[in-house]
Amino acid sequence: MSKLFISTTNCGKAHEADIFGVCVTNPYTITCSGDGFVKLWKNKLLEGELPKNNVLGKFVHKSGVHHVDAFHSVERGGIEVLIVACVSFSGEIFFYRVDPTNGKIQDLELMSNLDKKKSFWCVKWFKSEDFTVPHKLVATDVKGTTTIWNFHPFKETDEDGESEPENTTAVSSTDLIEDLHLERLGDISATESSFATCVDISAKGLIATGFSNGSVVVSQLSTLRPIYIFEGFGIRGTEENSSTVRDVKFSPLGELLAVANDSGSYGCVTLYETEFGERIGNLTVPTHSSQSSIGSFAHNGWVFNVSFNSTGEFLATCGYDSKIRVWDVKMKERVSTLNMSAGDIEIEEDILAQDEYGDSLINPPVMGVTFINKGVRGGIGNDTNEGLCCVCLDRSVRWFREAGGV
Amino acid sequence: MRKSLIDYSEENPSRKGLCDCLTPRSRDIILSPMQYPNTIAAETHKLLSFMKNATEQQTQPMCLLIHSKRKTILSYKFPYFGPSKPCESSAEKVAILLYLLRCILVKSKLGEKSTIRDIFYLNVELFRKQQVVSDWLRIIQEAFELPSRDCLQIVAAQKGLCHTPVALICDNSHLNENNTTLIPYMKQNCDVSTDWTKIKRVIVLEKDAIFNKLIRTRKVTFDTLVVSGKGYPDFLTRLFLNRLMNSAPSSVLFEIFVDSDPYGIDIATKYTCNLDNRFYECPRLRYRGVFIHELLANSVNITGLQLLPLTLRDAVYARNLLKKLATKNLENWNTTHFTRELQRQLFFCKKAEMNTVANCTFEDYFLERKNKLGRAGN
Repeated sequence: MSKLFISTTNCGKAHEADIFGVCVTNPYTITCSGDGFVKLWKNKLLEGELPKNNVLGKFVHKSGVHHVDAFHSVERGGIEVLIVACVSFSGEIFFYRVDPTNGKIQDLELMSNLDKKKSFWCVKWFKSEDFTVPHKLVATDVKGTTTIWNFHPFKETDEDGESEPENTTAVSSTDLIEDLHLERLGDISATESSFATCVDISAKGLIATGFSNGSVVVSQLSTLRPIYIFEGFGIRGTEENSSTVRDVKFSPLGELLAVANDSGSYGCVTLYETEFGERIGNLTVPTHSSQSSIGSFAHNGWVFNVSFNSTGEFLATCGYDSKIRVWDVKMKERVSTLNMSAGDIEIEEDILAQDEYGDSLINPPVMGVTFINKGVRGGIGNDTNEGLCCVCLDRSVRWFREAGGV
Repeated sequence: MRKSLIDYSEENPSRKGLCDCLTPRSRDIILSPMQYPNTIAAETHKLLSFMKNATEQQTQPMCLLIHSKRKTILSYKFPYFGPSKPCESSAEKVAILLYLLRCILVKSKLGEKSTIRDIFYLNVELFRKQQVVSDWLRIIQEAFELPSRDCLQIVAAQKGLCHTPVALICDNSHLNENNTTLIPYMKQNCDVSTDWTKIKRVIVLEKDAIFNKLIRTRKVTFDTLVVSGKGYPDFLTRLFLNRLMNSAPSSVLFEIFVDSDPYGIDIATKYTCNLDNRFYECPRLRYRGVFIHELLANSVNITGLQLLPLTLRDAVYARNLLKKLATKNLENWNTTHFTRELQRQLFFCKKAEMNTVANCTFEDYFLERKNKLGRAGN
């Protein structure tokens, strides 16, 4: 079964420099870039509206921003909380609260001074669907440590259970005092000091951290202890043979873990089952290459990002080979391939076919991809179909939706 | 009979009085700014004879006071005296200072120049590291308020290499055409004269291995002046580029090629900007790679992927450099190219060496880059 994705809109020259990350929330698609900006692109565009005219920009840090993740939730009492967390190349995490109704962006101080001294790399939010389980924030640093916080939107009330039942049931919105804050849970130290490139947190209370030396450590949230270590991806041998892990992602229910890592200049995607830590298999394309006997690859270039759809049935991967591939997770089969080309950009003057040095960007590498849930984007077909959003090295953002069903 | 401690304490009932009475009379010798650089010999002679008088004839301890650039005064006592805990290396520092002053005196009298390395090897036991010599020379230079360290007659050893397609005259030194020479010593405000119509580009290379290979490629050298500072550049190489930049017409392109690792970028910034002394910078230099993405694009070759993993040290270095580039001080320089490459190194967790581009043939890379840049309108 193949799936077909069609381009809905796109925006060239979205940032002044390379775009390194993308995430999607209900109101906005959020991108971050080496120019030091985080941009929030309005999702619900009306017919004829251009993304460029519906964007909020926030300057973060001059050294550039490489990771971004957003937390969006409607909390008790109907309070909408949208917090963008991003990490600059200088190693700081910045938090912004965005009000989707008027687009106001407000700086937030969530980190303690002790935490601020650390040099972070990757950041991820985890939204808990259960009121009794707090939301989480997790971040990695250059030395390989993973730090976890609980995120509380409200001032803590007495949770010792001693209070009378009628009192607890009577907690209404008026009793909730809004106080966004983080509560540090602890660190998971690296087994060996290596760059912790990526991290994810599952609904089943697991944390996966990927390292530049090719290993993935899966730890338990309750004990902060590693339970599985996955190693030995790709070709090993000389130093030049990269096996860097570039992304780890749990499926929405936390049953599966997808790991994207290098194998030399190729990109592999491996699926693991999380209960027993077993490898289920690789996602591969049939290849006519003479190197097919050595390994099996998902992309003919490094895979920078993977994203599950909301049901966990499909996985989108993107790579340096300027392709996005969508895979049927159960069958481990490719159902769609999208080729990026600089010429796709709607507005001609925004096409960036080559960079300042004359290097071609006709086939721009894809740096980030994410699935978009049904009903997030505006426009025909987006209510019934899922979509995709990607950022490419030609400084563009592209949105797609699945074809059919309109 | 000499007085004993009990006599002193009887004479001085207070603690302070006793301390004062027991502190020997010392001589303050100040290294003060010089009005004219040509009086160095006379001034150092005077300083040294003051010190000699103090120790030999008056048997008085001396206190050397040195004004540093940040308006602080360094003070060294010799022989050590006073109530505070003796500083271990004070005698050693005075020895180094005296030794260097004597060297400066001898060299200025003879009108000779010697290199820092020569001075270091004259007394390795005392200096231990060559850096110590250059650090102390800087301190002396700042105390004397001399315009440059070279006035002290002790200069850095020549390190930079240069290969020119046409004969070049640079402050009394002749550089022959199609010849590789060490970059000659020159004055800060000298001019470089040559037939600029025959030079299209000035390129700077981080590595001398690449330099040696490239100058044998006629296709490249016929209109290109090639310079290499062999890693981190010395002041002379930077001054040379600065002088070339000032003399060259605007049509001449200045380009720099370094490794795509944090140190390579750091070297490139060292060439292009210097906040302390404008003579040692060359803002016209354009950063031209090598770039990680080129090696990635060219990964399907026999040798496989030619990228090295970024170590923890590299990553920390890259981050700090990015922070530095983001500061206000460097706002006047265009640092976006450096920033872009550093960001990519960090994001990819990789670095690349310039010897590995274009299947280890840098000359091909250079020619290709030239074409590409031509197309991009550079």
